[in-house]
Amino acid sequence: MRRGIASGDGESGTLQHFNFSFPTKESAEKVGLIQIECYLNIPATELNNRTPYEDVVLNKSATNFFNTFPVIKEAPLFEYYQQILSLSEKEFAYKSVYSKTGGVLNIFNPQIRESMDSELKTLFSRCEEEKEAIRLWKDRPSELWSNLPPKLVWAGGGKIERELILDFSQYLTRMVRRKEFDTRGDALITAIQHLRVWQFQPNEICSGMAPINAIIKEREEIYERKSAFFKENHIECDFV
Amino acid sequence: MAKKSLQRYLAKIGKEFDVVLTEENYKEVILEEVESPPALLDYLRDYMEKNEPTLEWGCLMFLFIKADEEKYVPDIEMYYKLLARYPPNWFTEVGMAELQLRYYGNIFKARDGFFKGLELRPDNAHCHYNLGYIYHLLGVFNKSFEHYEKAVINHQTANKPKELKARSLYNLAVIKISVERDYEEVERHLKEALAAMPRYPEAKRALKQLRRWK
Repeated sequence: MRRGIASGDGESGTLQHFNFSFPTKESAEKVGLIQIECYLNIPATELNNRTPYEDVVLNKSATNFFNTFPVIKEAPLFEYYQQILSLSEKEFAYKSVYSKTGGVLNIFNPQIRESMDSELKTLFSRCEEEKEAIRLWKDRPSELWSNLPPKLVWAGGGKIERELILDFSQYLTRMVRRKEFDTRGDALITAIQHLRVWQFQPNEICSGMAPINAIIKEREEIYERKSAFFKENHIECDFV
Repeated sequence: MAKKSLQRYLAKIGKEFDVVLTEENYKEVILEEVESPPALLDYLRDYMEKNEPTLEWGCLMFLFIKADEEKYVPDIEMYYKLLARYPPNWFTEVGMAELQLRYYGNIFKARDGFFKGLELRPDNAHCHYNLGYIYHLLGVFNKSFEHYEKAVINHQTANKPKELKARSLYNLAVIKISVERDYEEVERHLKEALAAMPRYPEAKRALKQLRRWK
Protein backbone atom coordinates (compact mmCIF):
# COMPACT_ATOMS: atom_id res chain seq x y z
CA MET A 1 0.00 0.00 0.00
CA ARG A 2 1.23 3.48 -0.81
CA ARG A 3 1.02 6.23 1.69
CA GLY A 4 -0.16 9.54 0.40
CA ILE A 5 -1.21 12.95 1.49
CA ALA A 6 -4.35 14.54 0.19
CA SER A 7 -5.73 17.93 0.92
CA GLY A 8 -9.14 19.44 0.65
CA ASP A 9 -10.68 22.78 1.36
CA GLY A 10 -12.36 22.72 4.73
CA GLU A 11 -15.47 24.65 5.61
CA SER A 12 -13.33 27.56 6.82
CA GLY A 13 -11.28 27.58 3.69
CA THR A 14 -8.20 26.21 5.38
CA LEU A 15 -6.56 23.09 4.12
CA GLN A 16 -6.86 19.85 5.97
CA HIS A 17 -4.14 17.22 5.60
CA PHE A 18 -4.27 13.59 6.52
CA ASN A 19 -2.23 10.48 5.90
CA PHE A 20 -3.69 7.40 4.37
CA SER A 21 -2.74 4.13 2.72
CA PHE A 22 -3.92 3.27 -0.75
CA PRO A 23 -2.99 0.33 -2.95
CA THR A 24 -1.77 2.29 -5.97
CA LYS A 25 -0.42 5.73 -6.81
CA GLU A 26 -3.38 6.25 -9.17
CA SER A 27 -5.98 5.63 -6.48
CA ALA A 28 -4.13 7.85 -3.97
CA GLU A 29 -4.17 10.67 -6.54
CA LYS A 30 -7.81 10.05 -7.30
CA VAL A 31 -8.76 10.94 -3.71
CA GLY A 32 -7.75 14.54 -4.41
CA LEU A 33 -9.54 14.60 -7.75
CA ILE A 34 -12.75 13.26 -6.23
CA GLN A 35 -12.63 15.85 -3.46
CA ILE A 36 -12.32 18.62 -6.05
CA GLU A 37 -15.06 17.15 -8.25
CA CYS A 38 -17.37 17.15 -5.23
CA TYR A 39 -16.33 20.62 -4.06
CA LEU A 40 -17.24 22.09 -7.44
CA ASN A 41 -20.84 21.00 -6.94
CA ILE A 42 -21.32 22.70 -3.57
CA PRO A 43 -23.09 26.08 -3.72
CA ALA A 44 -21.06 28.95 -2.25
CA THR A 45 -22.45 32.18 -0.80
CA GLU A 46 -19.45 34.01 -2.28
CA LEU A 47 -20.71 32.95 -5.72
CA ASN A 48 -24.29 34.09 -5.09
CA ASN A 49 -25.23 30.54 -4.12
CA ARG A 50 -24.03 29.20 -7.42
CA THR A 51 -21.75 26.18 -7.42
CA PRO A 52 -18.18 26.71 -8.64
CA TYR A 53 -19.10 24.51 -11.61
CA GLU A 54 -22.02 26.77 -12.56
CA ASP A 55 -19.88 29.86 -12.09
CA VAL A 56 -17.20 28.53 -14.42
CA VAL A 57 -19.77 27.49 -17.06
CA LEU A 58 -21.53 30.88 -16.94
CA ASN A 59 -18.28 32.86 -17.08
CA LYS A 60 -16.71 30.45 -19.55
CA SER A 61 -13.59 30.71 -17.43
CA ALA A 62 -12.35 29.76 -13.95
CA THR A 63 -10.82 33.20 -13.31
CA ASN A 64 -13.71 34.54 -11.25
CA PHE A 65 -13.79 31.38 -9.14
CA PHE A 66 -10.04 31.45 -8.46
CA ASN A 67 -10.19 35.17 -7.65
CA THR A 68 -13.05 34.56 -5.21
CA PHE A 69 -11.12 31.77 -3.48
CA PRO A 70 -7.47 32.81 -3.80
CA VAL A 71 -6.44 30.23 -1.20
CA ILE A 72 -6.96 27.55 -3.85
CA LYS A 73 -4.15 29.01 -5.92
CA GLU A 74 -1.81 28.12 -3.05
CA ALA A 75 -3.23 24.62 -2.59
CA PRO A 76 -1.08 21.61 -3.48
CA LEU A 77 -3.93 20.42 -5.69
CA PHE A 78 -4.21 23.68 -7.65
CA GLU A 79 -3.13 22.05 -10.89
CA TYR A 80 -5.91 19.48 -10.48
CA TYR A 81 -8.42 22.34 -10.10
CA GLN A 82 -7.11 23.88 -13.31
CA GLN A 83 -7.29 20.55 -15.07
CA ILE A 84 -10.89 19.84 -13.99
CA LEU A 85 -12.07 23.40 -14.56
CA SER A 86 -10.73 23.76 -18.07
CA LEU A 87 -14.30 23.17 -19.26
CA SER A 88 -14.82 23.33 -22.99
CA GLU A 89 -17.60 22.26 -25.35
CA LYS A 90 -16.44 18.70 -24.71
CA GLU A 91 -17.85 18.94 -21.18
CA PHE A 92 -21.35 18.93 -22.65
CA ALA A 93 -20.79 15.93 -24.91
CA TYR A 94 -21.33 12.33 -23.83
CA LYS A 95 -17.58 11.65 -24.09
CA SER A 96 -16.90 13.90 -21.10
CA VAL A 97 -18.05 11.11 -18.78
CA TYR A 98 -14.80 9.26 -19.48
CA SER A 99 -12.83 12.12 -17.92
CA LYS A 100 -14.77 11.94 -14.63
CA THR A 101 -13.55 10.07 -11.57
CA GLY A 102 -16.77 8.17 -10.86
CA GLY A 103 -16.36 9.12 -7.20
CA VAL A 104 -15.59 7.02 -4.16
CA LEU A 105 -17.40 3.93 -5.49
CA ASN A 106 -15.00 3.85 -8.44
CA ILE A 107 -11.83 4.97 -6.75
CA PHE A 108 -9.94 1.82 -7.70
CA ASN A 109 -11.16 1.64 -11.28
CA PRO A 110 -8.67 2.24 -14.05
CA GLN A 111 -9.13 5.14 -16.45
CA ILE A 112 -12.33 4.27 -18.32
CA ARG A 113 -12.16 4.77 -22.10
CA GLU A 114 -14.97 4.85 -24.63
CA SER A 115 -13.53 1.72 -26.25
CA MET A 116 -14.38 -0.19 -23.03
CA ASP A 117 -18.03 0.87 -23.15
CA SER A 118 -19.71 -2.11 -24.79
CA GLU A 119 -23.18 -0.89 -23.78
CA LEU A 120 -22.71 2.32 -25.78
CA LYS A 121 -21.24 0.40 -28.72
CA THR A 122 -24.28 -1.89 -28.78
CA LEU A 123 -26.69 1.05 -28.62
CA PHE A 124 -24.86 2.90 -31.40
CA SER A 125 -25.21 -0.16 -33.62
CA ARG A 126 -28.89 -0.70 -32.72
CA CYS A 127 -30.23 2.86 -32.86
CA GLU A 128 -30.64 4.71 -36.10
CA GLU A 129 -29.77 8.04 -34.52
CA GLU A 130 -26.76 8.67 -32.32
CA LYS A 131 -28.81 10.99 -30.09
CA GLU A 132 -31.28 8.23 -29.35
CA ALA A 133 -28.47 5.84 -28.39
CA ILE A 134 -27.00 8.42 -26.00
CA ARG A 135 -30.42 9.17 -24.50
CA LEU A 136 -30.86 5.50 -23.62
CA TRP A 137 -27.25 4.94 -22.54
CA LYS A 138 -27.03 7.83 -20.08
CA ASP A 139 -29.74 6.33 -17.85
CA ARG A 140 -28.56 2.73 -17.84
CA PRO A 141 -26.56 1.40 -14.88
CA SER A 142 -23.06 0.68 -16.11
CA GLU A 143 -20.60 -1.93 -14.91
CA LEU A 144 -17.79 0.49 -15.80
CA TRP A 145 -18.82 2.63 -12.81
CA SER A 146 -20.15 0.31 -10.08
CA ASN A 147 -23.60 0.27 -11.64
CA LEU A 148 -23.98 4.06 -11.63
CA PRO A 149 -25.60 5.32 -14.84
CA PRO A 150 -23.37 7.62 -16.96
CA LYS A 151 -25.51 10.67 -16.16
CA LEU A 152 -24.72 10.32 -12.44
CA VAL A 153 -21.02 9.83 -13.16
CA TRP A 154 -21.07 13.00 -15.25
CA ALA A 155 -22.99 14.91 -12.55
CA GLY A 156 -20.42 14.12 -9.86
CA GLY A 157 -20.70 14.00 -6.10
CA GLY A 158 -21.26 16.73 -3.53
CA LYS A 159 -20.86 17.63 0.11
CA ILE A 160 -21.72 14.19 1.50
CA GLU A 161 -19.53 12.25 -0.91
CA ARG A 162 -16.68 14.63 -0.18
CA GLU A 163 -16.89 13.67 3.47
CA LEU A 164 -17.40 10.02 2.67
CA ILE A 165 -14.17 9.82 0.66
CA LEU A 166 -12.24 10.93 3.73
CA ASP A 167 -14.18 8.47 5.88
CA PHE A 168 -13.40 5.62 3.49
CA SER A 169 -9.72 6.63 3.27
CA GLN A 170 -9.45 6.44 7.05
CA TYR A 171 -11.43 3.18 7.17
CA LEU A 172 -9.18 1.55 4.57
CA THR A 173 -6.05 2.79 6.30
CA ARG A 174 -7.25 1.19 9.55
CA MET A 175 -8.13 -2.08 7.82
CA VAL A 176 -4.82 -2.54 6.01
CA ARG A 177 -2.52 -1.21 8.72
CA ARG A 178 0.71 -3.24 8.83
CA LYS A 179 -0.52 -5.58 6.11
CA GLU A 180 1.88 -6.55 3.36
CA PHE A 181 0.91 -7.56 -0.14
CA ASP A 182 2.82 -9.74 -2.58
CA THR A 183 1.34 -8.30 -5.74
CA ARG A 184 -0.40 -5.19 -7.03
CA GLY A 185 -3.46 -7.37 -7.68
CA ASP A 186 -3.51 -8.60 -4.09
CA ALA A 187 -3.35 -5.03 -2.71
CA LEU A 188 -6.00 -3.73 -5.11
CA ILE A 189 -8.43 -6.59 -4.56
CA THR A 190 -8.11 -6.29 -0.78
CA ALA A 191 -8.85 -2.56 -0.97
CA ILE A 192 -11.85 -3.10 -3.27
CA GLN A 193 -13.25 -5.76 -0.96
CA HIS A 194 -13.07 -3.29 1.93
CA LEU A 195 -14.80 -0.67 -0.25
CA ARG A 196 -17.66 -3.05 -1.05
CA VAL A 197 -18.16 -3.81 2.65
CA TRP A 198 -17.90 -0.13 3.69
CA GLN A 199 -20.43 1.06 1.10
CA PHE A 200 -23.23 -0.90 2.80
CA GLN A 201 -22.44 -0.06 6.41
CA PRO A 202 -24.73 2.58 7.93
CA ASN A 203 -22.70 5.75 8.27
CA GLU A 204 -23.19 8.77 10.54
CA ILE A 205 -21.99 11.12 7.81
CA CYS A 206 -25.14 10.34 5.84
CA SER A 207 -27.50 10.18 8.85
CA GLY A 208 -27.26 6.43 9.23
CA MET A 209 -27.83 5.64 5.58
CA ALA A 210 -25.54 3.24 3.74
CA PRO A 211 -22.95 5.27 1.76
CA ILE A 212 -24.06 3.68 -1.52
CA ASN A 213 -27.61 4.97 -1.09
CA ALA A 214 -26.50 8.40 0.12
CA ILE A 215 -24.09 8.77 -2.80
CA ILE A 216 -26.76 7.88 -5.37
CA LYS A 217 -29.30 10.20 -3.74
CA GLU A 218 -26.88 13.12 -3.67
CA ARG A 219 -25.75 12.55 -7.26
CA GLU A 220 -29.38 12.45 -8.40
CA GLU A 221 -29.98 15.80 -6.72
CA ILE A 222 -26.86 17.25 -8.34
CA TYR A 223 -27.94 15.88 -11.69
CA GLU A 224 -31.36 17.52 -11.33
CA ARG A 225 -29.74 20.82 -10.38
CA LYS A 226 -27.35 20.67 -13.34
CA SER A 227 -30.18 19.76 -15.71
CA ALA A 228 -32.25 22.74 -14.54
CA PHE A 229 -29.20 25.02 -14.82
CA PHE A 230 -28.47 23.90 -18.39
CA LYS A 231 -32.09 24.32 -19.45
CA GLU A 232 -32.33 27.74 -17.83
CA ASN A 233 -29.23 28.91 -19.65
CA HIS A 234 -30.14 27.25 -22.94
CA ILE A 235 -26.97 25.18 -22.99
CA GLU A 236 -27.16 22.02 -25.04
CA CYS A 237 -25.82 18.95 -23.30
CA ASP A 238 -25.95 15.23 -24.13
CA PHE A 239 -26.77 14.41 -20.51
CA VAL A 240 -29.79 16.65 -20.13
CA MET B 1 13.56 -21.52 -37.84
CA ALA B 2 10.47 -23.28 -36.44
CA LYS B 3 12.45 -26.49 -36.22
CA LYS B 4 15.17 -24.74 -34.22
CA SER B 5 12.71 -23.43 -31.67
CA LEU B 6 11.07 -26.85 -31.44
CA GLN B 7 14.46 -28.40 -30.66
CA ARG B 8 15.02 -25.76 -28.02
CA TYR B 9 11.67 -26.46 -26.34
CA LEU B 10 12.22 -30.20 -26.42
CA ALA B 11 15.67 -29.78 -24.89
CA LYS B 12 14.31 -27.48 -22.16
CA ILE B 13 11.54 -29.93 -21.29
CA GLY B 14 13.99 -32.82 -21.19
CA LYS B 15 16.52 -30.96 -19.06
CA GLU B 16 14.24 -29.19 -16.62
CA PHE B 17 11.41 -31.70 -16.25
CA ASP B 18 13.00 -34.97 -17.33
CA VAL B 19 10.25 -35.58 -19.88
CA VAL B 20 10.71 -36.67 -23.48
CA LEU B 21 7.94 -35.30 -25.69
CA THR B 22 7.34 -36.94 -29.05
CA GLU B 23 4.74 -36.73 -31.81
CA GLU B 24 3.30 -39.95 -30.42
CA ASN B 25 3.06 -39.11 -26.72
CA TYR B 26 2.55 -35.34 -26.36
CA LYS B 27 -1.25 -35.45 -26.25
CA GLU B 28 -1.25 -38.03 -23.47
CA VAL B 29 1.44 -36.11 -21.55
CA ILE B 30 -0.61 -32.89 -21.71
CA LEU B 31 -3.69 -34.69 -20.38
CA GLU B 32 -1.62 -36.20 -17.56
CA GLU B 33 -0.12 -32.83 -16.67
CA VAL B 34 -3.47 -31.07 -16.49
CA GLU B 35 -4.70 -33.58 -13.90
CA SER B 36 -8.12 -32.02 -13.85
CA PRO B 37 -11.75 -33.04 -13.69
CA PRO B 38 -13.09 -35.29 -16.46
CA ALA B 39 -14.91 -32.37 -18.07
CA LEU B 40 -11.66 -30.46 -18.70
CA LEU B 41 -9.85 -33.57 -19.93
CA ASP B 42 -12.72 -34.21 -22.35
CA TYR B 43 -12.50 -30.60 -23.49
CA LEU B 44 -8.75 -30.85 -24.15
CA ARG B 45 -9.12 -34.20 -25.93
CA ASP B 46 -11.79 -32.64 -28.09
CA TYR B 47 -9.63 -29.53 -28.70
CA MET B 48 -6.67 -31.66 -29.84
CA GLU B 49 -8.86 -33.77 -32.08
CA LYS B 50 -10.51 -30.79 -33.76
CA ASN B 51 -7.47 -28.57 -34.13
CA GLU B 52 -4.81 -31.20 -34.78
CA PRO B 53 -2.07 -29.22 -33.06
CA THR B 54 1.61 -29.91 -33.62
CA LEU B 55 4.39 -31.16 -31.37
CA GLU B 56 5.46 -27.55 -31.00
CA TRP B 57 2.01 -26.75 -29.57
CA GLY B 58 2.48 -29.70 -27.23
CA CYS B 59 5.81 -28.27 -26.02
CA LEU B 60 4.41 -24.76 -25.51
CA MET B 61 1.34 -26.08 -23.75
CA PHE B 62 3.51 -28.26 -21.49
CA LEU B 63 5.71 -25.27 -20.62
CA PHE B 64 2.63 -23.06 -20.04
CA ILE B 65 1.19 -25.64 -17.63
CA LYS B 66 4.49 -25.82 -15.73
CA ALA B 67 4.82 -22.01 -15.56
CA ASP B 68 1.23 -21.82 -14.34
CA GLU B 69 1.93 -24.41 -11.61
CA GLU B 70 4.96 -22.44 -10.47
CA LYS B 71 3.08 -19.13 -10.81
CA TYR B 72 6.06 -17.73 -12.69
CA VAL B 73 4.52 -14.71 -14.38
CA PRO B 74 7.10 -13.89 -17.12
CA ASP B 75 6.96 -17.47 -18.44
CA ILE B 76 3.15 -17.65 -18.25
CA GLU B 77 2.93 -14.50 -20.36
CA MET B 78 5.63 -15.62 -22.77
CA TYR B 79 4.12 -19.05 -23.47
CA TYR B 80 0.62 -17.55 -23.70
CA LYS B 81 1.87 -15.19 -26.41
CA LEU B 82 3.64 -18.00 -28.24
CA LEU B 83 0.45 -20.10 -28.12
CA ALA B 84 -1.53 -17.25 -29.68
CA ARG B 85 -0.77 -18.59 -33.18
CA TYR B 86 -2.91 -21.65 -32.36
CA PRO B 87 -6.70 -21.63 -31.86
CA PRO B 88 -7.50 -20.33 -28.36
CA ASN B 89 -8.02 -22.92 -25.66
CA TRP B 90 -9.84 -22.65 -22.33
CA PHE B 91 -6.91 -23.60 -20.14
CA THR B 92 -4.59 -20.81 -21.31
CA GLU B 93 -7.32 -18.16 -21.55
CA VAL B 94 -8.48 -18.81 -18.00
CA GLY B 95 -4.87 -19.00 -16.76
CA MET B 96 -4.24 -15.53 -18.19
CA ALA B 97 -7.51 -14.17 -16.79
CA GLU B 98 -6.46 -15.37 -13.34
CA LEU B 99 -3.11 -13.67 -13.76
CA GLN B 100 -4.79 -10.41 -14.78
CA LEU B 101 -6.97 -10.57 -11.70
CA ARG B 102 -4.71 -11.81 -8.92
CA TYR B 103 -1.33 -10.51 -10.06
CA TYR B 104 -2.09 -7.25 -11.84
CA GLY B 105 -5.54 -6.40 -10.44
CA ASN B 106 -6.76 -5.65 -13.99
CA ILE B 107 -10.38 -6.44 -13.25
CA PHE B 108 -11.81 -5.52 -16.63
CA LYS B 109 -9.20 -7.55 -18.53
CA ALA B 110 -9.82 -10.48 -16.19
CA ARG B 111 -13.58 -10.18 -16.80
CA ASP B 112 -13.00 -10.33 -20.57
CA GLY B 113 -10.73 -13.36 -20.13
CA PHE B 114 -13.31 -15.33 -18.15
CA PHE B 115 -15.98 -14.45 -20.70
CA LYS B 116 -13.66 -15.83 -23.38
CA GLY B 117 -13.37 -18.92 -21.21
CA LEU B 118 -17.16 -19.24 -21.20
CA GLU B 119 -17.25 -18.97 -25.00
CA LEU B 120 -14.84 -21.90 -25.16
CA ARG B 121 -16.57 -23.96 -22.46
CA PRO B 122 -20.14 -22.72 -22.05
CA ASP B 123 -21.61 -23.20 -18.55
CA ASN B 124 -18.20 -23.75 -17.00
CA ALA B 125 -18.55 -23.31 -13.24
CA HIS B 126 -15.00 -22.05 -12.69
CA CYS B 127 -15.58 -19.13 -15.09
CA HIS B 128 -18.98 -18.35 -13.61
CA TYR B 129 -17.51 -18.39 -10.09
CA ASN B 130 -14.75 -15.97 -11.08
CA LEU B 131 -17.20 -13.71 -12.90
CA GLY B 132 -19.34 -13.70 -9.76
CA TYR B 133 -16.29 -12.59 -7.82
CA ILE B 134 -15.28 -9.97 -10.43
CA TYR B 135 -18.77 -8.44 -10.58
CA HIS B 136 -18.77 -8.28 -6.79
CA LEU B 137 -15.51 -6.30 -6.96
CA LEU B 138 -17.04 -4.11 -9.68
CA GLY B 139 -19.99 -3.38 -7.42
CA VAL B 140 -22.45 -4.89 -9.89
CA PHE B 141 -24.26 -7.19 -7.48
CA ASN B 142 -27.10 -8.34 -9.73
CA LYS B 143 -24.59 -9.76 -12.23
CA SER B 144 -22.44 -11.17 -9.45
CA PHE B 145 -25.50 -12.99 -8.11
CA GLU B 146 -26.37 -14.37 -11.56
CA HIS B 147 -22.90 -15.83 -12.07
CA TYR B 148 -22.66 -17.38 -8.59
CA GLU B 149 -26.04 -19.00 -9.19
CA LYS B 150 -24.79 -20.43 -12.47
CA ALA B 151 -21.64 -21.66 -10.71
CA VAL B 152 -23.86 -23.55 -8.24
CA ILE B 153 -25.96 -25.07 -11.02
CA ASN B 154 -22.90 -26.17 -13.03
CA HIS B 155 -20.59 -27.01 -10.11
CA GLN B 156 -19.92 -30.53 -11.41
CA THR B 157 -17.70 -29.09 -14.16
CA ALA B 158 -15.30 -27.64 -11.58
CA ASN B 159 -12.03 -29.01 -10.30
CA LYS B 160 -13.35 -29.30 -6.72
CA PRO B 161 -17.12 -29.36 -7.30
CA LYS B 162 -18.30 -29.39 -3.67
CA GLU B 163 -15.93 -26.66 -2.58
CA LEU B 164 -16.88 -24.43 -5.50
CA LYS B 165 -20.58 -25.00 -4.82
CA ALA B 166 -20.15 -24.17 -1.12
CA ARG B 167 -18.12 -21.03 -1.79
CA SER B 168 -20.58 -19.82 -4.40
CA LEU B 169 -23.48 -20.33 -1.97
CA TYR B 170 -21.60 -18.49 0.76
CA ASN B 171 -20.98 -15.57 -1.60
CA LEU B 172 -24.66 -15.56 -2.58
CA ALA B 173 -25.44 -15.26 1.13
CA VAL B 174 -23.02 -12.34 1.43
CA ILE B 175 -24.79 -10.49 -1.40
CA LYS B 176 -28.22 -11.26 0.07
CA ILE B 177 -27.21 -9.86 3.43
CA SER B 178 -25.38 -6.77 2.18
CA VAL B 179 -27.71 -5.70 -0.60
CA GLU B 180 -31.14 -7.02 0.29
CA ARG B 181 -30.97 -7.86 4.02
CA ASP B 182 -32.97 -10.97 3.20
CA TYR B 183 -32.14 -13.07 6.28
CA GLU B 184 -34.31 -16.07 5.31
CA GLU B 185 -32.45 -16.45 2.02
CA VAL B 186 -29.10 -15.90 3.72
CA GLU B 187 -29.83 -18.75 6.13
CA ARG B 188 -30.90 -21.04 3.29
CA HIS B 189 -27.73 -20.34 1.29
CA LEU B 190 -25.48 -20.84 4.31
CA LYS B 191 -27.14 -24.14 5.21
CA GLU B 192 -26.75 -25.37 1.64
CA ALA B 193 -23.11 -24.26 1.66
CA LEU B 194 -22.49 -26.28 4.81
CA ALA B 195 -24.27 -29.29 3.34
CA ALA B 196 -21.88 -29.17 0.38
CA MET B 197 -18.79 -28.59 2.51
CA PRO B 198 -19.37 -29.30 6.22
CA ARG B 199 -15.89 -28.06 7.16
CA TYR B 200 -16.39 -24.42 6.20
CA PRO B 201 -15.56 -22.19 9.19
CA GLU B 202 -16.68 -18.89 7.58
CA ALA B 203 -20.11 -20.30 6.76
CA LYS B 204 -20.46 -21.78 10.28
CA ARG B 205 -19.52 -18.46 11.84
CA ALA B 206 -21.89 -16.52 9.60
CA LEU B 207 -24.79 -18.85 10.39
CA LYS B 208 -24.13 -18.53 14.13
CA GLN B 209 -24.04 -14.75 13.87
CA LEU B 210 -27.20 -14.71 11.78
CA ARG B 211 -29.09 -16.69 14.44
CA ARG B 212 -28.05 -14.15 17.04
CA TRP B 213 -29.44 -11.33 14.90
CA LYS B 214 -32.76 -13.01 14.16
